[in-house]
Amino acid sequence: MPTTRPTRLQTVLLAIAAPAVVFALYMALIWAPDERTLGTVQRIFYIHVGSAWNAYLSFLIVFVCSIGYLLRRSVSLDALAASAAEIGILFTTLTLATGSFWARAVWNVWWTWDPRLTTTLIMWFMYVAYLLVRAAAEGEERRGRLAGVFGIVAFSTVPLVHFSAIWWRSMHPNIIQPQGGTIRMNMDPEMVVTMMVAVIALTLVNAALLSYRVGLEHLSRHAAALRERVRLEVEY
Amino acid sequence: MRYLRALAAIIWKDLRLEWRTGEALLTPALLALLLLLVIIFALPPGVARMEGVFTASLWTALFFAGTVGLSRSFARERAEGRLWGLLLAPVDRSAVFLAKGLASFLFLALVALVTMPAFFAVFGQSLAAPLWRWVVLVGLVLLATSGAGTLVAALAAQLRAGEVLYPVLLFPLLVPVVLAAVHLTDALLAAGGWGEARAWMHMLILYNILFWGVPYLIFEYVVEV
Repeated sequence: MPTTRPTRLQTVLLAIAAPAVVFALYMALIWAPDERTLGTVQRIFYIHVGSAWNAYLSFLIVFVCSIGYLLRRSVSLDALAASAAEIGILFTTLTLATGSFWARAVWNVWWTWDPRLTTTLIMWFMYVAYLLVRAAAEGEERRGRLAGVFGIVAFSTVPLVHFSAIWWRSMHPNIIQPQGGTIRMNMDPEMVVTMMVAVIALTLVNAALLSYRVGLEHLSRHAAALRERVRLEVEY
Repeated sequence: MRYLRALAAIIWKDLRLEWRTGEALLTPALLALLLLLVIIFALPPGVARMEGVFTASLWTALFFAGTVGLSRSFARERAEGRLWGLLLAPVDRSAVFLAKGLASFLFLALVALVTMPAFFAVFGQSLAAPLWRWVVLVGLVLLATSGAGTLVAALAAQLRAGEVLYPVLLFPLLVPVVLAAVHLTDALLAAGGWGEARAWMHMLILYNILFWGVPYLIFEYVVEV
């Protein structure tokens, strides 16, 4: 039976994620060097990349759990998919917001219909639609199944978001490029380290949020089942 | 062989049903023409001749009108347990998807065939490129649309207020197809051939593979009873 008390996993994840974020903020805002042409505003980059990575990661979790649910019909996988979708939307929103602030400073506009930006916005709409499917489906089995199908189709467009910047000669910068078997980073080494730390810290936040959200999902399903039992007992 | 016979039987059934009701053909065609009127009235005089306005109007109208017809594809199977009858057929479930998708594509193509000349005429737009290029472009756009549209129609038919949700679920999936359609149409009107637009053509083909391949693989989970 699910409880309202935090599980050990939730406590541990929260205890690691909180100091990690503080440390990542210190590195991003104070330790990392100023960018030569963009100046101090470039520091938004660390949060921006961290959020974008976690948005992709969350939608990957939705995708894998969707396939898993359709094959195995496990309630936990469905709960995980539902939770990851919400968190993915949160990180996509953060990516769009931080990107918008940065664009205002660097490109002098809040928004431009660049493919990379456009496709990220589409991704946001797509997963809001995913939540709509969940909200409008009646019955636990049907909700899981239909959401699973939509989760698979929606994710098929996510790689396109990533490659769009490369294909369509976007003005969005491409920092990490493969070059002759290795990967080249067009950045100062200290910036690379800071970026890694920010990505790891936000991934920990993602994991902590996910563990709490999944717990909540199980609780709400349990509550729904209890309500149903009460309803049946009152009726008969 | 049995697969193909089942496919043909379902398409034939949809065609006959369409012949008697006209809901996937007449209604969208009328809606497209009405949208054309609304757009023309809404635009300030002279703007209709400006570059890009024709393309935007054409595809906005076609996509909106198209969803009306597409959503009927499964909505009309809901009544009287008709979907059960379809699913009881002793063939792979993907046959139901392919047949429904192809029938929807046929209706969409007919709607485009009837309404597009009106758009060209009202906007005073010449073809500017060989006809076969238009056929390829419109065909590929509508094919991708009907693939995704059929899958989402099957899904929405099982949701509460699915008919209202249908466009909201479908349009995010279709945005890249819309973008490709608009860019390629502009390329055709500029009479410069594919050229720069080649990347969009590749993407349109990619989306066709995606929107027919993925539903083909997972359709049996969509219509489970």
